[in-house]
Amino acid sequence: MTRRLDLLIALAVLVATLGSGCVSTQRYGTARATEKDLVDEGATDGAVISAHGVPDQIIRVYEGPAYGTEGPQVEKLLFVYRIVDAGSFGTFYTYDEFTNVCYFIVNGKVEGRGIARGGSGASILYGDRFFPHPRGRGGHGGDDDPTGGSR
Amino acid sequence: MTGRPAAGVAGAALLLLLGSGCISTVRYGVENVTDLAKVGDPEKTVIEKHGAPDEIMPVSKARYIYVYRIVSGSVMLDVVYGRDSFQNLSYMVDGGQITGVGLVDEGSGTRLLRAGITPHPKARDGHGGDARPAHSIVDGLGRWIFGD
Repeated sequence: MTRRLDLLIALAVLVATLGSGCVSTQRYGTARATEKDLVDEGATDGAVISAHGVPDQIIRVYEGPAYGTEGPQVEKLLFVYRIVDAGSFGTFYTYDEFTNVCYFIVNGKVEGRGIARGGSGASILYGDRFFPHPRGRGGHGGDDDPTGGSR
Repeated sequence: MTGRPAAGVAGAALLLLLGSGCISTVRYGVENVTDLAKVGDPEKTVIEKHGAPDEIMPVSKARYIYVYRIVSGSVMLDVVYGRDSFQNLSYMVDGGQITGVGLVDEGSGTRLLRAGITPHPKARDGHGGDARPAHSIVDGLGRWIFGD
């Protein structure tokens, strides 16, 4: 009787494990995201594309006179590459972490660049309440739900 | 309580634990909030130190603000305990140079057993208040506790 019970429990655990998934790892985003992959300051914006491929986002920072009402015209852009690393062991443990590579382009040339870590999260045993990035939350500075929900 | 009853209670507790979720901890947003660019530095320093901003807020002409937003949050047993806190890091840029730097806490919240909670002012009618404080409180299911 005891042995049969043990077998049943083992089977239930196995089914639960398989049903909730096993192991996954992902890393999405440009694969060239180390310091040595970066294009030097002074290079053209085309060199950025050659080095990293198509960006995930282009942010238009400013276009107009350099100093507001006078000075030469400037066009400032950010080329942004976003990277996520994540993994899971079923639903027992999951994690994700974010990085971005960003180029500051002025009049078609690289004026600055950086690689920055953009946060991480981990959960155990279905602790998967969703905490969106502040940008995705109502009012940015809070969305009235400390348990992470977004309205 | 021994034997099967104890095992049943333990099993029920385990199911409750799994069904309601256990623990999660997150911190999203730029991680470097200690090595800041300084007033007088060129604009590119912001990107070099913090990467892509979450928002660029135009002020006028060549003046704008780079904004980085950060949230820290954790939950234990889903509905039992939750907390979150916010920060923002912002740089005022004028004519390609940094003219102001700010790193400020932007509020926090905690919640125990689905207690009523209050939205951030920016998410409320009138922003700085809506004249009837009770109307701003919602329950654990997102319903207004008081209100029309």
